Amino acid sequence: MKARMLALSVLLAVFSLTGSSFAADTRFIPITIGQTFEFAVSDNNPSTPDWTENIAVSGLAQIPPSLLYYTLDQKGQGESRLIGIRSTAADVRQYDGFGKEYIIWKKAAVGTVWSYIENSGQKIQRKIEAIENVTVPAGTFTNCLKIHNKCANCSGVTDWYEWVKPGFMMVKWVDYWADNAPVTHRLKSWTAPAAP
Amino acid sequence: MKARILFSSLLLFVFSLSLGPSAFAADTRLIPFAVGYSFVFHASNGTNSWEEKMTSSGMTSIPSALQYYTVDASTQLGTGTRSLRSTPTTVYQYAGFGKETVFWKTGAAGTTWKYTEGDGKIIEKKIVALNQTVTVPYGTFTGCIKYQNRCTNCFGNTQWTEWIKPGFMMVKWQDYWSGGDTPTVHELISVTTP
Repeated sequence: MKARMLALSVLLAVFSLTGSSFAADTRFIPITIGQTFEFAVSDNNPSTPDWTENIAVSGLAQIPPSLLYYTLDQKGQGESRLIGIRSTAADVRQYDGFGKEYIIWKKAAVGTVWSYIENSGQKIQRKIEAIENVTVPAGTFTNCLKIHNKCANCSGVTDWYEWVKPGFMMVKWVDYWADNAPVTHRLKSWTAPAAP
Repeated sequence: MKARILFSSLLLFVFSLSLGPSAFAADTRLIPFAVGYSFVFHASNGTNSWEEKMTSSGMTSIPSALQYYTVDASTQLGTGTRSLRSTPTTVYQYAGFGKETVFWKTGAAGTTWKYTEGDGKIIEKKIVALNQTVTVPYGTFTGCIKYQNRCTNCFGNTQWTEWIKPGFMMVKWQDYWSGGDTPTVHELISVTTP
């Protein structure tokens, strides 16, 4: 039990340093525990009221031997999930379970294409399609990467588009792989972690 | 970057101190999760059979006080990850946004509790029997707790039954919620230690 308490104390000390202590954070997406993001969501059904989707960076998952993922709590209309992601200076990776990860976003040139197979068997193809300025309720974000995604071995329309602001976060996504598509998410507000 | 690597190394060192049953000769937790353990289950619905796997792959820390084991699970539909922690009496699941739910707990037969999942499903759990003896391919387990569960605001037959061996793990579950009149039965067939 003493070892466990020691572990906890060290973790908390690390959490209190992470983020705010890295003045020159060079990560592509510098997420930090305590951040929250609120998205306004609308779909193509006029009778459906708009709703809100929330993402909170709630913690840190450590997968031995050396990988650390931020835990993102995501809650929208009728669904809720936890996602583990980590960012390097060049890309953002999502934990898929059983020690496997895949690249969801890359800081690369327009035209860059990559793909991966999820543990579910779905083959996801991603392409950086453009660099664009994006205006959402939270403001205008310049030089966002527009990423076009689809499932290559699924039936039906599976496309979705994401706009990622380097040095910040995803600010918009439009999902055609959904009921009442397209479903559009626009960043409405965000909060930074409380000062230590 | 150096500072981040230092933190990572420190975390690994601390985790290596805090994990594994060998570090806890008298681990009193209801389910003594430890990083590196894998449990493989044989699943059958009467027509098809397959294997499912649960692995404690790491740990998740939620400030300011809670630590969960990262448990990856494979099913027919793909994979999912849960964050679980155990006390001597209760297993909690991290539900997001600082909330947790009671996944399993000890108690007298008849003990019932409910929780609402993030998607709105209301799950009711009940301890229906104690001291159950369960035989699965991996062996015979005595003193198991039998839980009867259901979704109270979902359509159809949502019942599933779980058998937990205190001090070890879930050894069997039987699920009607996956569809059809015949339940899908999962039985433990192997355990891999780190």
